[in-house]
Amino acid sequence: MLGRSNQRDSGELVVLSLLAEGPKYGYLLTKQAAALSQGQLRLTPGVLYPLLKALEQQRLVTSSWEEVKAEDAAADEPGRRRKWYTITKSGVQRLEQRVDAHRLAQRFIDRILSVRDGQFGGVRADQPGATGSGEVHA
Amino acid sequence: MKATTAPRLRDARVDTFLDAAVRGKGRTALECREELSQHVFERSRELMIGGRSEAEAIRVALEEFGDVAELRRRFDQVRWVKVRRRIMQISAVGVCAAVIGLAAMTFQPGCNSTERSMAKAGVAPSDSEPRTQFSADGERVASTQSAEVPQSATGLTSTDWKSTAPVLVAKKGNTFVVDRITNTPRGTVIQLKEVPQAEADAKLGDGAALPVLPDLPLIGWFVKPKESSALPYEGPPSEAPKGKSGVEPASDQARRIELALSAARKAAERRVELSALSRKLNARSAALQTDAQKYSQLTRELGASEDSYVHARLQLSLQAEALEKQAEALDKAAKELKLQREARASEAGSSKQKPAP
Repeated sequence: MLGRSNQRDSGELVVLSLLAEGPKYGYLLTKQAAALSQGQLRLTPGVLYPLLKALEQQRLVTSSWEEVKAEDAAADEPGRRRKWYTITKSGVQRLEQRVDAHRLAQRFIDRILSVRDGQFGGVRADQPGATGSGEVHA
Repeated sequence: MKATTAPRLRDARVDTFLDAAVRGKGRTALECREELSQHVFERSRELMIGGRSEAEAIRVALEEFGDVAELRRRFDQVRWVKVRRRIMQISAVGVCAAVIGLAAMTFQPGCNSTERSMAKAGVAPSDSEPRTQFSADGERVASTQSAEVPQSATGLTSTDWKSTAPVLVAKKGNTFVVDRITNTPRGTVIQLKEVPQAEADAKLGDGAALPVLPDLPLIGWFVKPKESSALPYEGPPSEAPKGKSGVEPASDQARRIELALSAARKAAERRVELSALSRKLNARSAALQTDAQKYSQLTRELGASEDSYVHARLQLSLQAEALEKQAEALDKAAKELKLQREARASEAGSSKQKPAP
C-alpha cells in the first residue's frame, strides 16, 4: 500500500490542497509548501512539474497563461509567461478522497506506533500530537 | 524589480538543461520548456536578491531540479499515458470504421468487389436486383433496371452461340433477345433486349432462334463500351465477319463467355462466403465492443473504488484493534476482580482464624 504510489499520492495531496486555496503557478507552489511546512517539506521542481502535467492530463486541474513583464521592460518587449493552475471540481473530489485516506492512514500508523511503545490501552499521555480514538481504555 | 537582480532571459546552461529535460518540439513541449524556464528565472532572481551571483544563482536553480534524466523520465511517463490513451481511442474508432466499411461493401446492392470483378470479367451481376452498369474497365457508370436477367449462368454452350441469331432465351415469363454484340478491348459486350412474348414466338416460328428453354439461365452483359474504342461489329454473331478484321470468331467468343460464366459462378460463390464471413465478423466485433465497454466500465469502477477500498480496509483494521483492546481491558478487569476476591477471601480467612479477644 505504501511505497512509490504513496509518494505520488502525498505529492498529489499537497499540490491539490494548495491549489484548493486558489490558483497558483509552479514556483509559488514550491514556496508555499516550504513556508507552510516551515522548510521541512521541499516540493522539488523535478517532482512538481511532471505531477502538475499529470494532474492537468487527468483534468483535476486546469491551466492558463499570464504574461509577466519586468518593471523596467519596454512596452513592446515581449514578457515572460507564467502558467497558472486552478483546481477543478474533479480535483476537489479527489482531494477529499486523499484527505480521508491520509487521515485514516495517519491514525492507523499512530496505533501501530502506540503498540510498539507498549501502550495497548491508548497512546502515551506525553506523546506530542497523539490522537486518541475514544475506544474503551482499561 | 531592478534589472540588476534579474537574470538574463537566455542562458546556455538553461537551454541545455531544457533540451535534456523535455523531449519533442510540439506545442506541449514548448509550453513545458517555457514553464520550466520561468521557474529557473524566478528562482535564480530570488537567489540573486539574496546576494548570489547570476551564474551561481542559475546553477543552484538548475540543481534543485535534481537528476535531469529522472525529470525527463517522469515527463515521458506522463506523456506515454496520454499517448496510450489516444492510441486506444484511435484503435477503437479504426475497428469500428473497418467493420462498418466491410459491412457496407458486403451488403450494398450492386456495388461490391464481387460485382466489380464480374464486370471486369465481362459478366453482369447474377441476382435479380436492379442492375448496375459498368464500363469495360470495371468503373460503375449507371444503374438500370431495363432487363431482368435470369439468375446464375449455366447451360449456355458455345453451340448455342454458333448456331443462329438472334438468340432467344426466356425464364419466368421474361423473354430476351440479343440486341447487340460488341467487341471491346476488354471483352465482348452482349446487350439483351426484352421483347414481347408474341415477338419471341414469331422468331421461334421462323426457326432462326434457339428454342426457348424454361430452365435456361442467362447472364447478360451490361458493360458500357468505351466511346473511344472502335466498335468494329454490331449485330448478331452469325453475321460477324471472321478472320483478322478485329472481330473474334463466334467460337472464341463462346469460349470467352464460358470462361466468364465460370468466373461468375465462382464469384457468386465467393460472394456468399464473404457475406457469411462478414456476418460472423460483425457479430464478433459487436461482442468485442461489448466486452471492451464492460472492461472500461470495470476499470473505471476499480479506479474509483481504490480509495474506498483503502478507506474500508483502514476502518476495519481500526475496528479490529479496538476490539482487541476491549478484550484486553475485559481480561484486565477480570484479573482485578479475581485479585479482589482472593483478597477478600484471605481477609475473611484471617478474621476467622483470629481468636476472639
